[in-house]
Amino acid sequence: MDIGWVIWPVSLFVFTLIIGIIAPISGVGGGVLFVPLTTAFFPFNLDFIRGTGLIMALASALSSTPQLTRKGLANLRVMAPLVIVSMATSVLGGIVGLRVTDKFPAGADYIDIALGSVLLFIFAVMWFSKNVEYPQVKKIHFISRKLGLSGAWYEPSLGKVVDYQVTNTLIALPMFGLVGFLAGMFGMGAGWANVPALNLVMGAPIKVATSTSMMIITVNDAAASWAYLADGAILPIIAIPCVIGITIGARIGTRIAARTKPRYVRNLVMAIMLIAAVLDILKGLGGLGVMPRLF
Amino acid sequence: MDEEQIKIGPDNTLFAGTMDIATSIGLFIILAAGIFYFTGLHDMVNAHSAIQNWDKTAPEFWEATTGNRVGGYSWFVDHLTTIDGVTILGVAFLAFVPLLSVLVVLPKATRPYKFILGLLILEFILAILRPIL
Repeated sequence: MDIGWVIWPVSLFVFTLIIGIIAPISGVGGGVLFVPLTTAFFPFNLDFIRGTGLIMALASALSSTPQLTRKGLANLRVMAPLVIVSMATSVLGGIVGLRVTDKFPAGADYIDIALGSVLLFIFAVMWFSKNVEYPQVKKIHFISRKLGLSGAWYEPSLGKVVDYQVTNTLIALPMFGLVGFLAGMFGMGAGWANVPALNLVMGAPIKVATSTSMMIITVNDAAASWAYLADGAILPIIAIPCVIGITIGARIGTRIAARTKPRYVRNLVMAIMLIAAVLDILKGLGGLGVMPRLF
Repeated sequence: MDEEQIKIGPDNTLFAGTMDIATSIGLFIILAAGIFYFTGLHDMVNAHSAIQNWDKTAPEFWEATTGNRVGGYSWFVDHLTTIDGVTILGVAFLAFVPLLSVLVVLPKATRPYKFILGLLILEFILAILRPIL
């Protein structure tokens, strides 16, 4: 019996296990590393890569959200008004992304270039955004007051309960709309954009922002996943090892995170993203015949 | 006030509890079916065929491997007796978990949130039904 094919699921498992370990330490979701790197180095069609990326981000967010919610860090009340907009755009992003690769002969090459460009943008966001641990919310918007967008959690490093209040819900809505579209189109979780919007625009403390971002990802990615499921863009031989790899890796990564210096890992991840961005753009340009194919 | 005394509200508690249990069920289905899938037990598309065609777009892949055009959910719902059909069912279940968690919370939500969560549920159901409408 030929078992040579086993190399593929095994390498995917190892690959996603490593991504799963790195992700919680660096503060990025798994999809933002998985999609560009798999696009650059694995032979799968982009449809299956994006479908798997979404399912991985979903599985990882679903596994961590209950615990974060019980601690008071992820808040359903903050999440609900935001996903009304971002869920619709994430589904739209999924439909547009799948149509582009299906209807246009060079669609996958254009998506490669767009993905590389988005990664360069994410790199810039991560480079320039300076998260605020405990933002001061001076003026509470009337919608935030009406909806009671507040909460509390016990912060062990301070030894006390921290209360918080978020604001600017209306201003943040268009941002979450755009983020949802990119998440659905490229099969990513998009925590890289949710977190600065929640933290810097809405005034959520950084821990609340990262946790509520996870809750947002559960809804956005789940809704977009149905577009990929309906198009047959989930393939068990790719999805199974990736979901198992990221789930185990994330659990290991969460334990290691407490003992490592996140700044070094974050710099490493940013370097990987920059390389992946350049490779994806070169791959797309090579596919379009603008330059010779490099790989 | 310490960690034990933080009140996160019945909506958040119910949401977390439902998501926790449902996610475990979804991951168990994927894991259990996945183990059997790699043994080659009664599959819809065997591993060799998948590898030969996975560079094709999703619609081209299914046409080449099964002779069927995909559109909607029948490509896996009609094949739940196959192990890859069950795996995809596990994935679909995971994609259903957030809707289930919000549905459970709805009766306990306060008035403004009943409206927001109702809207969210409606949007989610439309996202699921859109491909088959």
